[in-house]
Amino acid sequence: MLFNKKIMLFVFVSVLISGGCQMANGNNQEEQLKPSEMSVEDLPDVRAFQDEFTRSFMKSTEEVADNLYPFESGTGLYEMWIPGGTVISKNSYTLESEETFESFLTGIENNNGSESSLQMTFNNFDKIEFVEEYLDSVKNQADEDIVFEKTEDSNKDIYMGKLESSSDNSFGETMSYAIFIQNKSGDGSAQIFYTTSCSEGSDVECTELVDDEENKLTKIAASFNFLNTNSKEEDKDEQ
Amino acid sequence: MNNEVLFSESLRLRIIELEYKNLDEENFIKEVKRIYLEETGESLELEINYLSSNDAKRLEGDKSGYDGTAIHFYSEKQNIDQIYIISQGSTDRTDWNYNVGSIFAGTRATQSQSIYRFKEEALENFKTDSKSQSTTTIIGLSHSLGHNNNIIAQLSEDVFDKLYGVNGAQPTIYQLFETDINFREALIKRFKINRSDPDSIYGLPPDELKAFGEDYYKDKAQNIHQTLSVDDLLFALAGTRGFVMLGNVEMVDTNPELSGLRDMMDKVPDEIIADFQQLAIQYADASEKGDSDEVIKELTGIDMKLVDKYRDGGVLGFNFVFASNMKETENMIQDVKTKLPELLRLVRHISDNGEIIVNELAANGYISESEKTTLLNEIESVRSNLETILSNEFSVTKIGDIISAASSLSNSPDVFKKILGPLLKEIVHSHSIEEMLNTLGKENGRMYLGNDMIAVGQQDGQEVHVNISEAIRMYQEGQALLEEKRGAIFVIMRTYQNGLVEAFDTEKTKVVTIINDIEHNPQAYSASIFRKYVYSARGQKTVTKIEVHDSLTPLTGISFDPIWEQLTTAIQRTEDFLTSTREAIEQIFQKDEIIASLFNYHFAEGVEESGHRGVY
Repeated sequence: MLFNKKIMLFVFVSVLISGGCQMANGNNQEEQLKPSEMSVEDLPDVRAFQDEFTRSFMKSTEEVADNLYPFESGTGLYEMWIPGGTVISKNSYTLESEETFESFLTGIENNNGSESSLQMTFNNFDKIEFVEEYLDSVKNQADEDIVFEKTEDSNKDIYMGKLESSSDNSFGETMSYAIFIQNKSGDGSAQIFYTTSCSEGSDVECTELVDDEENKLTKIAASFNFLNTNSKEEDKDEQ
Repeated sequence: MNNEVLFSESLRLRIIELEYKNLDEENFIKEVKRIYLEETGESLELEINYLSSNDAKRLEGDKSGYDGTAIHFYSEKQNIDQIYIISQGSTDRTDWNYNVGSIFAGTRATQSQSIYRFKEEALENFKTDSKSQSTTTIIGLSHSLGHNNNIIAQLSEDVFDKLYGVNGAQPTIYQLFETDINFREALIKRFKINRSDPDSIYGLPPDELKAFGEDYYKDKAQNIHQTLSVDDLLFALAGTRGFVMLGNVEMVDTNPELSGLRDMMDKVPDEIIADFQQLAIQYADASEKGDSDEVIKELTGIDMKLVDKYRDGGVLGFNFVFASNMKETENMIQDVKTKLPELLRLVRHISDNGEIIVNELAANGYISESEKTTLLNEIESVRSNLETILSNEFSVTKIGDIISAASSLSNSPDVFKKILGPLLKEIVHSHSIEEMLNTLGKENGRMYLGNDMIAVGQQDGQEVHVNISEAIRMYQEGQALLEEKRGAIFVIMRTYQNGLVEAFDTEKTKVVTIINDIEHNPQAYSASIFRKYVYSARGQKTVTKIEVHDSLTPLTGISFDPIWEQLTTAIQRTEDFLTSTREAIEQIFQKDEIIASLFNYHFAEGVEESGHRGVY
């Protein structure tokens, strides 16, 4: 009993001390806190932040473009913007132990009443010289001869194409896109399949959404940023 | 039989097994030829090319763990142009916990990207001038997890023309839902899955998903061939939640003494499987992150390293340990608070139904009655320990109680291991290629041990096992050694003949020639005779005749004949031994055409044409 009392006294004192410490520097750090470190009440009422698993990938609560928020990969090797209505399927999420491969499936609630899924497959070893083969692989997966439109920027090439067969179905209307992003300043690629469906009886027709959806996808693809190893370490230091 | 180079199940299984050995190019090809010869009795007469995924440009920097070998068989004359891609199951085959955990959970990353890229590399690497790539047949071979990767690659992007798998990890609907876009869309439509909540698929009836998946892939699966052991745990699991069984499946009872796990698994209610699955997902996640301490931490929130610190610190050191680990301790308590209730729910459920599972294990002979009791007690003890921890008020003041309960919990894995260890060993063996090979080989009188082939025959009513690979190695190496010995004896005899026998004769001839010359031309030698033997010259004297009395002893006492005899007898004896061994084996297996031709091949071609020796 004596032993227990001693502990309790000590614990009581130390809890006071540690609590005090936290309070003292709590305010200073608030702005730098990652969403995953913030208390639930302080998070925006946006799906991506309300879901605990998805929140752990969110870089900040700041809306960077119309309903788009910054996401950082579990590999630490890329970041991109994702819609606020995104939830990452925890069960689908795969991160290889060396953190050089990541894949997951998300479900997205769009503001216009439609819903989307986004399937991401990232690796850090794909090389630009074989990009044609990678595009063939994307076509094989979609099981159709996608026509890709290429957009270049200084450190990546973006290939985006619409899947034609996907619009033919009986349960609501859907539109699907394939995006392949090849790193130019190092190795690595990201493959994205994106499908939006407008549910039956919904006010919006899919055809009305095409422009919006394509604009959004273009923004997401352009926001994709390969982080090289150096900047990854800098990132860690900042924390 | 088809025109595939590896046309039989045994050939394919042995090549898959070979791939695990991580041989270099030269040895791999050598072994492929040996296996082909042993299985068919014919030598493989075509071009063989090799590529390891380690040397693939496209996979440089790929740390996803894909490990494979591509082997190209090419013969323009025989119209053969086939690439076999053998995908390795897992880099560490002994890591059974991880394997089962991740497959069961269905969360393991598929390496289909790596497989596709490796195929492209192989096509480029093996490009032949006379053939276009489109005529190359691509065949996938794999075991265990490798099959899971291959099949996902095949279903989502048609990588192979044909796929063979042995004791493969079947894909789950959930994996395919994630990776195959067209299948995903089909599922979403058919089951009206809420697109914005992909995990809601886990709430759908697994049987319906399974039936839909098997029907959806019916056509694509026609080129998939699987051989499965009914005793393999992976097969038992394949009956559970969400797994789909695709392609042409051949079931083999590789361990007839045990009744197979599938029936047992099928008797376990689906909700328990679901709980196991959830546990497995967490477990797989945790083991991906680190060691067993990490697993415990992930599942329970208990930080065993911290618990150890407290235990080592003893009574007096307790405060000290706390003071220096304040933050960790608080974190642990928070962690336990969130994780433990969910774990306890799972464990309670499993423990409530534990008897079904444990009874099945006992009824099927996997464990004894007394082990059954121990096991049930231990499950109960884990449950009560977890309950004790949970019944505590969660605060730092109760850290002592948490630590003592955590300590008692830490013994449980050992108890489980002791009973389930041997059982697991048996089950793991049923997952092996070797057990499958042995079962399939039985009807042809073949057994396999590692990479060796053993022939089973009859002699005097007794079953005889002969390690044919070993016998042939011995015969081959014996013949080569004899050849070497014969060469050495030849050199010795030649030296003896040249250096002694012939040299003696040459010297003797020289002497005799001079003697003859002296006797025929005495005058020619007069000067030297006078100088040597006539000391004063008194008048003219002439030498009219010289007669040489010679006595040349023959070369004796250094005969090599006995040595030669001894050496050749030794060689003969070895040769007789090799021949009689061969004949004895041939006698036992006289009806086995393959074995007969195996020895013929080696004897007739292997020795005569030394170039063929490379076969071994």
